[in-house]
Amino acid sequence: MGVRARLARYAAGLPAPFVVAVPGGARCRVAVEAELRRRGWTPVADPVACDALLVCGEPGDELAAAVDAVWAGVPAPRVRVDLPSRASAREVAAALDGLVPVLADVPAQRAEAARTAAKPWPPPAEHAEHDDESGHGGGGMEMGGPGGVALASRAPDRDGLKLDVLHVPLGPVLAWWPAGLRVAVTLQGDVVQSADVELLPGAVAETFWDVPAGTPRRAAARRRAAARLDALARFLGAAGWPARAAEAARHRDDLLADAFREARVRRFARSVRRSRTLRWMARGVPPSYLAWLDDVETTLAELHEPGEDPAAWRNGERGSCARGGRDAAGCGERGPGFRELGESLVGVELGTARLIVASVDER
Amino acid sequence: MIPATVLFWALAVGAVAGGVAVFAVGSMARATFALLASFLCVGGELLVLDLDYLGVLVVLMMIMEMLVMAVFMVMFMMNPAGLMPMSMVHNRWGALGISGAVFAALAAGIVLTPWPHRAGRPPRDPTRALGLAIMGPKMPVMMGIGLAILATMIASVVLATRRGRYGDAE
Amino acid sequence: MSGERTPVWAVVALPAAVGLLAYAVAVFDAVAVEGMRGRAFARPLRRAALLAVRQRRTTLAADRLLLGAGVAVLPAAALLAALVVPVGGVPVVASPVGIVWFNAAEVATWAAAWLVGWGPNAAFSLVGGYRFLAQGLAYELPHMFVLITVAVGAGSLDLTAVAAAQRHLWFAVQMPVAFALYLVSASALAFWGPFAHPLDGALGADLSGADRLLFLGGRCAMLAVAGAAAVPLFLGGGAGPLLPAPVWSLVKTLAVLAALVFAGARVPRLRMDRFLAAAWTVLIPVALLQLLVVAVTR
Repeated sequence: MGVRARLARYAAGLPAPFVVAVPGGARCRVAVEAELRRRGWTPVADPVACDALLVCGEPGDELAAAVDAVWAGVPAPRVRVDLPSRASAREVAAALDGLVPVLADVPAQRAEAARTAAKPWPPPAEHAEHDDESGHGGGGMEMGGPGGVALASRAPDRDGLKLDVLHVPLGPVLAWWPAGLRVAVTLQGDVVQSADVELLPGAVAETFWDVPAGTPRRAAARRRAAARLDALARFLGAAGWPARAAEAARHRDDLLADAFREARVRRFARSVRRSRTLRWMARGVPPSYLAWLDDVETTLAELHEPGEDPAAWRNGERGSCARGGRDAAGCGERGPGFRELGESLVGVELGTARLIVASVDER
Repeated sequence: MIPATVLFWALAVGAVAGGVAVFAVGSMARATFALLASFLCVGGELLVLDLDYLGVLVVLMMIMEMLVMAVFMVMFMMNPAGLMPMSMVHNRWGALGISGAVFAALAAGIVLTPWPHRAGRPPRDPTRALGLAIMGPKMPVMMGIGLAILATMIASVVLATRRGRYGDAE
Repeated sequence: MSGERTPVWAVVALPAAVGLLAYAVAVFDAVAVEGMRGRAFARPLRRAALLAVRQRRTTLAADRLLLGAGVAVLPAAALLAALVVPVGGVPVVASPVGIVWFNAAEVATWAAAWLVGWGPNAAFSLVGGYRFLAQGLAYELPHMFVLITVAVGAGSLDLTAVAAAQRHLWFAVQMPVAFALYLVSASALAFWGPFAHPLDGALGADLSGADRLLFLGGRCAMLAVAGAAAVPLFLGGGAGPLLPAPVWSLVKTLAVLAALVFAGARVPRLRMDRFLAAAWTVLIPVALLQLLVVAVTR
């Protein structure tokens, strides 16, 4: 066995997964994230860096095409796993067990590498507009540049400069990003000039976070707190605080499994709220995360209130809408949050745009 | 160790080659870095000549300068990787004539100048000697002026910008 | 440099030492971000192995030449910076202008970041490269003033002499503000921890295989060398009781690196538009004040 083969097998012992969130697949995604954490397989932030693409749920046609485009850019050794949205924890674990042998199969991966290398990447011809869903490999829209590559056009910038205009998609396959969200942005420099928001649907509706009537009070409260922690994990991840994001996800999974320690969740909520740096960085961004932290704490308190009927949980009731005022983007029925998103992204820098997106919770 | 003479000539050829490359490559980005490579070779020459401080300073300043130039030259012009080949040459024949004449004049200067012979020995600390030679007893004044210039630059930029690129200046 | 003989062993020992320190940084980072769950020592090795054997894919119409240059510059700059850093009082190259040399090598990260941003022909990557240049100036100026402060305090630009000048009292105690600023600006120049803003889905996001390994490894190496330089600059070099000087150098270096990495993981990433304003209006004046204090009291 050659050195490269040995190294490849050694590397296969610690896969670098990338989790693709699909609308309707929250249950599966949560199970996958919990199982990844149990194994210590920390997800990577860029799809190009992953060797295991884990698609959680059944994407609709458009989203499936976007995932395929991202998959085409993942270098070998690689493995893709499509998990159904109803996958149980055991099925998830079995699927992840199956990854390692595939990644360690050196001859097969060599063949895969030869096969992908033969194809041009990114595919230049048919979907020039949609070929870089991850936001990578950007270019312009006008055709006619050298090698059939589009060149950017120019337009006056708001600073009075004449800058190139680029049309690039943000999402839908991105880390710390809402499932199925695609924001087609027009960029000048690193400032978003316009943004079109589009929600690519999954094949099944999302019901995981819903609390049906008649749910026992405790279970309902746990589910609600877990939903908020899920959104918090996404926000903290987008804010570049991976350690805290992982903590939020861990508390989420503990709550769902009813294995949580209330004091720890509270300590987590307190310390995130106390972070001055995070407040400083979140200035100008809808302060949803503070409302979510409030939600988590009040919901935890509900676990101790005897006899009260479980109020049906709606966004308008408590938290983001009642308190913030400025974070109207998180309010109302499902969807409007994203609709208003486009306007709030105009004139902000890319990193801030990701924070703004992460501070919208579609639930 | 490689003899200093070999190093000197290697760097000299590198510097000139970098300079030529500026006009031979097809993208502004490559031209910028060809120029940087040329300057780094010049910095290396100074190091070979045991002018440590000047040599390192040239390396430091040229990296910063060329990178800042890269920003201004290419600005936020987002045709990355120089898709459109473009030439760095304007007025080809006139430029060739002028640069050829200047090169010949400078080279002639090297040959024709009666170079003095070394008198005395190099100082123990050339950096200190250099500073004294340039600034002499005016050292604190010069440093004060340097700081004042920096403060003026920062202050004038702060005062001149009504708002930053990302919204109101804080 | 100035004609001192470089020992032959250094050609092998220096990259090995820098590599080991970079590995230590990667291990600290794995523990700081992912927690102390099993085999933290193996994680960076397995990840490096994956990148080493991995297929290299490039984006459409990438500038391979400049991308390759950018990817190689980062580890090369770390090695060049390490040349003048004394370990136990002995650097590989004893330079009378070591501090300036060290800074020149650090500034090469600018070139690396811009080239890696430009090369892949991808919008977000390019944005990352440009952003880092804008930030780089805001980090480099305080950094430079801090290094000047140290040089003024020691009366020398030679790192070995700087370490020797702290025989009685460490510069970390004499000029605490400069020390703090050094740690902040050094991690910023390696775009580490809260200063990783350019990496946020941008810089290096399109790199695969060996390119990615060199880029990310070079980043670890850059931080490692900056941490190692903090020892002669502020922590008295190899001075210490009982243990030999090189051991003290190593212990102090690892302590600085652990502090940088673990403290970095405790803070969310700083947004560049926010921090840039703070760097210009707070860090630079504070650095100048510290310089003034040191210059007057000396």
